[in-house]
Amino acid sequence: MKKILAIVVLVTSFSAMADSSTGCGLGSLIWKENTIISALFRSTTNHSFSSQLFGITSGTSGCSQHSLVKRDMAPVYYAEANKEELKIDMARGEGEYLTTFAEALGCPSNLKKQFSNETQKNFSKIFPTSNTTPLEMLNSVKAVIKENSSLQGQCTYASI
Amino acid sequence: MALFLFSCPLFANSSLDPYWKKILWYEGDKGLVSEKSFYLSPSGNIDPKKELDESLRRFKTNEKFGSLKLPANCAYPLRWKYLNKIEPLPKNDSECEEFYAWKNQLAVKKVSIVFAGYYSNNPASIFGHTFLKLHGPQDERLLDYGVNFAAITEKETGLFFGLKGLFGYYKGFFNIAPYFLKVNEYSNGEGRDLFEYELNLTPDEIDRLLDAIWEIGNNGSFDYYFLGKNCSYYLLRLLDLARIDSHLADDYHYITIPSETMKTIEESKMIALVKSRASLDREINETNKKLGPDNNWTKVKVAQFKKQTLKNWNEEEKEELHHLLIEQSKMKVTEVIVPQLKHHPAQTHGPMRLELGAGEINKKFGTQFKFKPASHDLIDPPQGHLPYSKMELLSVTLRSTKSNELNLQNFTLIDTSSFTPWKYWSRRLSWRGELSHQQNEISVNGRRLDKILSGAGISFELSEGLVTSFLLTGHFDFSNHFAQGYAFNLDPEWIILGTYEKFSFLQKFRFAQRWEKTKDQQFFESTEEFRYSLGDNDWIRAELLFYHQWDNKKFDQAQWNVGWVRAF
Repeated sequence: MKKILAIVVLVTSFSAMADSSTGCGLGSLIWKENTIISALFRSTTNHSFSSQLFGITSGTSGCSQHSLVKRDMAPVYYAEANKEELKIDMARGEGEYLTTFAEALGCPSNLKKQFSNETQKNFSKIFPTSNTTPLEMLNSVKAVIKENSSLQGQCTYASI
Repeated sequence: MALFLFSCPLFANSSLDPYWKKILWYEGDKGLVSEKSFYLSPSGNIDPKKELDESLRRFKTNEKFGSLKLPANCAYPLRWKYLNKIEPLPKNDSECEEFYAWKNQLAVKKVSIVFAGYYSNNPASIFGHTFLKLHGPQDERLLDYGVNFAAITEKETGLFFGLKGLFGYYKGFFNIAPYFLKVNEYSNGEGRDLFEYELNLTPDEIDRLLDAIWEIGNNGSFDYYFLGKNCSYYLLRLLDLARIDSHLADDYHYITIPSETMKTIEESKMIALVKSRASLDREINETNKKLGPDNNWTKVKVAQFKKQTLKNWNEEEKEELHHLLIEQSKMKVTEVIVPQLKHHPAQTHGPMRLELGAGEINKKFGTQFKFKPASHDLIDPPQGHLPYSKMELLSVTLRSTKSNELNLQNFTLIDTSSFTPWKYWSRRLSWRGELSHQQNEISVNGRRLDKILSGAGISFELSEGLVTSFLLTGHFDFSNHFAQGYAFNLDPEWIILGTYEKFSFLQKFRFAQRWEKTKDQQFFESTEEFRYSLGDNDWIRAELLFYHQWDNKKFDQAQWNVGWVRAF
């Protein structure tokens, strides 16, 4: 019993360490199944890692409340969920995921183009390797914002 | 007129009021919620009057309700507001912060229905999936929230998953999640187009909708039946709660097909198509066409696709994508590719078919009547459907000739095909499957034949709408024509299929090799099928089959049928 408890504590503490200081993260993966039979039902049953029950605040208590993302945690949550899409939009210098990221960071809409241009310019700083984590990426983006004269101080949720 | 005015107040705000029964999630005389605690009276799920009385009684106390232990006005906001009109009830707002915070954060301005279309190579998904999207005040739509009704299943697969889903063994819950998670899942992960339709709900209706979502989301679950009481059914029920005199769900008792519910909503004029999001699949197709396979951006998209769909995304591919993106970051975009979706799900033809036809089988002339409750055939109008696919369930063909009265000619449990064209980046195989019972079957001298078939192969798109496929099918045939009662077949098939809005044609060559215990049989079939549309839901269908046995000409035969088809 003690062993199990120890393992549980270890596992949960690891996941807490992997996230931001308030223990926010997504954790689970999309369950993918595409056999003929399962697909017959899958189209309507829809398993997803978004299936949090309603009023139940999940273990990610710093991150969401009643399944809604807390505003100040939105950049973290968004970065974690959309890292790949963001990477692609950033390389391109445009895209919906990128402009949405700008909004999640609290940047005003008239600075979205600037944000897209700056992040593309600094792409290799933001994604230095293929293993860059969402959190590292987020911190680099915040640094880019801080260093840019038009963007600095304009994005409410981008303070480092 | 005066009588009508008198009788209305009698109904409104009483247990006989249809709206009260909607609040209790009744269908007919029974409440659908499987959580017993949702109903406050022990017989609340079969007695709306008792439930009304008991709710009134308990809402007057200080009792806390539901999983969150909240006062009545925020545990059951919809129910409370309704009952408060009958008798004034105490309102406890001090402990309702959670509910108000939730509503205020959502700050819903508009509500949309999102339809997720079919996914590639999967004809079973043609009926789609629907969920709600709540628009917040922010600019970007990805930050909206999606409200979804889904079954909680363990990681079950295959047959058990199918049976459990069919017979209601899974529990369905409402859940809410950021819309970008849904777009990632459907559009990128599953290659499905998304169609967003805005609803014309008033602010009051939106408020009632949110109350309903909170109330049922926190307190209830339902048995999930994939065919009937599914995502789309419960979505209609939510809309019926938002708009008091709406009864969209009334037409759906046994079978609820998501694409059909879209038409119901469209007919009620609640809705307008606002935005479509093409799947990653479609995006790559467009990108490849416009920029070519060697363009850096095309390579990026293909790599993205591989990552989403392949089970083993290795380090090498990861590095490759990273380098492609570094390259891309040094380029300025010259062309933004946005695939246009020409058709949306409300435009698909109805899934039911009635066909009246006549023709010759076994050299006898007869008339045929076909009923197909859920069908999309290869030669049916393709608009809005998964291209080059077939999905047919439970179809029945009756035949009448001069000598015989109406007899069962064919019963097909399932007949499905998918001839997805081979693309260098997706490399999907084509396949087909069939479980059927046939009378007067030509290759067994007019006796009955039961078939269990599966086949796989490859298809190539020759031009838009035109595909050619090469398949190898293996099947067991059961018939008393065979000495042992069954035979095994291995048939190469070559198909040419052209599907267009106004008409379609199919040409199939089948080279059959059949083995029984003591002998084998080889025969050849050439099938032609043709469809010509008279209107959106009416068409003419013609079929011709030539049968030739290699070793014995005396069995050579031609069969044909011409019919008029109505789609519902």
